[in-house]
Amino acid sequence: MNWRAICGILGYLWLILGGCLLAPLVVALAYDSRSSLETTEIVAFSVTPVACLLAGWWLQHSFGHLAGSIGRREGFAVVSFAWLTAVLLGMLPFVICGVMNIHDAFFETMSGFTTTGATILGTPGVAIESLPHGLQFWRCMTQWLGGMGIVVLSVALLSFLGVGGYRLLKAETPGGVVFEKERPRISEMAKQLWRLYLVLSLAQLLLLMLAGMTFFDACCHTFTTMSTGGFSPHTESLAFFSPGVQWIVIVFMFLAGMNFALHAQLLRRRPAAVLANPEFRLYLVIIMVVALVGVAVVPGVDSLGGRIRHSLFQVVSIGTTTGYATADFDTWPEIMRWLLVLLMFSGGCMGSTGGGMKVARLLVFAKVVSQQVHRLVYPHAVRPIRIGGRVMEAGIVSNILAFGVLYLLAFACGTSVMAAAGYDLVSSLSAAAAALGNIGPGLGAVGPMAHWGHLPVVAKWVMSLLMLLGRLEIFSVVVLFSSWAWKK
Amino acid sequence: MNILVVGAGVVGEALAEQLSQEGHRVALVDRDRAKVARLQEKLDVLAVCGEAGMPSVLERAGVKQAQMVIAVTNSDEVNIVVGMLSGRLQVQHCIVRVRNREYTDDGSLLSLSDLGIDQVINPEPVMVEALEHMVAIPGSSDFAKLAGGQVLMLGFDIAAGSPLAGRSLAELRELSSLDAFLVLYLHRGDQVIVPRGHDRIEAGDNVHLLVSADTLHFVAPLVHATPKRVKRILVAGASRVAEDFARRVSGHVENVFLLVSDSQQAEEVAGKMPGVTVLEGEATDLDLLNEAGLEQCDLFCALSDSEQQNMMSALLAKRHSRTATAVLVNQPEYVPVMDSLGVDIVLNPRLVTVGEILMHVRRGHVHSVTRLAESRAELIEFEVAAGSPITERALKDVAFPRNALLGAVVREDVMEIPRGTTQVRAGDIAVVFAMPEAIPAIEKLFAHRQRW
Repeated sequence: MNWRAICGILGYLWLILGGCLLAPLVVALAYDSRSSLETTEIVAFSVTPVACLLAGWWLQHSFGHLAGSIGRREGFAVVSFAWLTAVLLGMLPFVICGVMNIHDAFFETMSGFTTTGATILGTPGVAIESLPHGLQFWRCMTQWLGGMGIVVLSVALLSFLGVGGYRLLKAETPGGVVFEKERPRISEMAKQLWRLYLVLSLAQLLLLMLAGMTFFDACCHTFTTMSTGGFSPHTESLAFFSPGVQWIVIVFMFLAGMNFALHAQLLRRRPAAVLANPEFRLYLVIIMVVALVGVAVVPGVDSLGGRIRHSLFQVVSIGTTTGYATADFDTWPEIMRWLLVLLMFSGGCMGSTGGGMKVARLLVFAKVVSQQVHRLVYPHAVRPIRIGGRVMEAGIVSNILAFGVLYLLAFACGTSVMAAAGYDLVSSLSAAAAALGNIGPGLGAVGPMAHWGHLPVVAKWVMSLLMLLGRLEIFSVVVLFSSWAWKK
Repeated sequence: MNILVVGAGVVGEALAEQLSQEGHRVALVDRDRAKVARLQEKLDVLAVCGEAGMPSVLERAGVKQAQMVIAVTNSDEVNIVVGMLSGRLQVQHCIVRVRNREYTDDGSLLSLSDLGIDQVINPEPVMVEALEHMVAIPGSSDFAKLAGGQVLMLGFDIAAGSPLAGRSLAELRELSSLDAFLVLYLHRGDQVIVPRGHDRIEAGDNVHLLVSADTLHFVAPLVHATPKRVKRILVAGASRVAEDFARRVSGHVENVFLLVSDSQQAEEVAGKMPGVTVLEGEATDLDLLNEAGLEQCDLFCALSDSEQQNMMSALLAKRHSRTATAVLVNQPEYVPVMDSLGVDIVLNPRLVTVGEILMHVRRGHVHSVTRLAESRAELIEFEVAAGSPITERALKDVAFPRNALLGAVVREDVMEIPRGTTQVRAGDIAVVFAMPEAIPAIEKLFAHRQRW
């Protein structure tokens, strides 16, 4: 393991993070100034970026020249440590302001960067609205940074990483991803992704403001919609806003859950290519079917339009792993609660900002099953797994199967911890699924109108780990616990 | 610039790596899936798997956005097809490696330029010519022609009796009162040394020199104590290079033997070359070598298509005689191995090809690029651009990068070894020896400011 090279890249990353941390400072200066909490906040947002920039500059200055020489193992280490240190640095403002203890701040920031959206805020003492604007803004912004990925951002900005950047990207979204390099230079690919992300975010910001949101609310919700995060500056989440706003959010959640390569196709005016994409079709079908069931069973709303909106909103929100709510779906009929839990597993598309297992993997699971059944009848048949006309290599298929196993294993462990902490089975299962899938709200004790603040400390840390596992698609983290990564 | 490299062999890979490092956007096509996967991990390029001659594959690799296509697959025919297709697509520059001269000779039925191929690369004539010169200059182990033949780059293995052995560069300056040559670098063991005034040349070093073509006749004896004319040459192999070399060298060397293993081929070759004695048999057969007079042989050239065969036969010849040896190897990795085994001249068509192609990529003011010292350095020939920084002051005041050396300046067809007071002018040809890390700085000093 080449620690110096790892430190070099982390240095660059902290510099970028420090730069991003200046944004909430501007917001804090513009909106807050009165109470003593808000003065502390401004101090916190001055100290944190400075510390971040100084530490980053020092690391970059000492080891930055080695950053181009990272190998495979270092790629995994860089990605895991990048996320961990981003969370540790990003939680500082919450801690300095004294609004959370260390456990809560770590949980909340991890939930932010991993775009989970599970919050510990909501107990009467610390309502979300009681936070000053700067903290609110930073809380939502962590999701936006984590959505497209902090490592993707640095690869886009640090074009000198060259092929090392490819290793990093592969490590940030591994798990047998059909990671198709479409452009000769990896930094250009990363730039294109961030460009699309920015364009979509700007579009949503404008639309939300046209629909009557304040600039601050529009920013925060854009941050957490495009990243499929789910934080909201309001305890009532999106129920606080008008139906028009909710419709806009539905559309952008759906877009954020799509593969960004498809957005590039749309920009090139090739809608046929998007419709022909098998993953997108399945994604669309899943959401439509569950939403239709929802329309039939959603209680308490009379108008058809209202039923469609509520059902579609909750289904898209959970299906893309965003985690906003316009209704307390924990009180919906059992069948709908169960379908929503299932949606937590399917998640968004490959190459989206969504979490979960990803629709493409479900597609592969189904094809493997059909392949095995076919083989029972024709034992000698050669039947490769095809997705959209392309044959998948056997290595990638088995990687995806292993991912499925690991995912379920992590889910089981998380549930065990929650159950051991004394929660009922529905709460435990849904909490583990919601944390691992980066969704946010679960059912029961962690339902959409509840919060996670009452979890015992150990459970908070375990849930934070699940979020990181889910965001980095398990393998990149797990490999660091294997002896192969460390042996010389 | 968007560059599409077709064929990820030794040449393709080396080019892709170099060009990507120089900041170009490179796509690479090869049909070997495992190789494509390996290169995707190793280089920051777009690696595409598929049959290179297929339009769909080229399209997937982005041929439509490419400004330059370089076709270096193993097959001449595939390369030509790739060239044709990119010509159809109006790709600005298309460089194609074609080794069979049937395709490229004047009056060939197939006119490549009509097909839209603007540059044909063939390393073989370059190698044959270099080898021919080395035959004419005793003791030399490397050769390249620069500045239209005005400047020669020569490599010599310094024997114990050589007049150069044991002398420092400063002493050499006095010895040859006029500036007839310049020492570029010494290859000592695994080290590449760019020598300064007090550094000494030792016996066993391999020395690379720049020499003016006019003064060659008295520099050569300076380096090599006992010039001996080459009278007997054995050429092993029936490759195009071997045949070509045998034919050309038979004009001025009395005894040229060509060993061909295939009997039918032997007869064909013998029919074509009356001045050459063709022997049928394996070059690793000692009896056959003795029949060709290995004892009196001055130069043994193993030039067949099989590098293993070449290595073995050269080692065998070396073991049983005092002949100098020349070996053709395809893998650049084998070049230093051959050097360490005592082979005098190692020819590598891949390195030659890479150099030729780089010259065309760095188009404009670069006239030639020769890769030296196992690709650890380059000899670049520039035409000095008007207004380039180097023309602004005398050499001693120019911040010349370390690891680089201005070797020669050619003005109005006269070569001059530069001194501190030399003032380089626009339009001069400058020959620069540079390690890779110095190349960007050199380009800035000499070249037009426009970059790709």
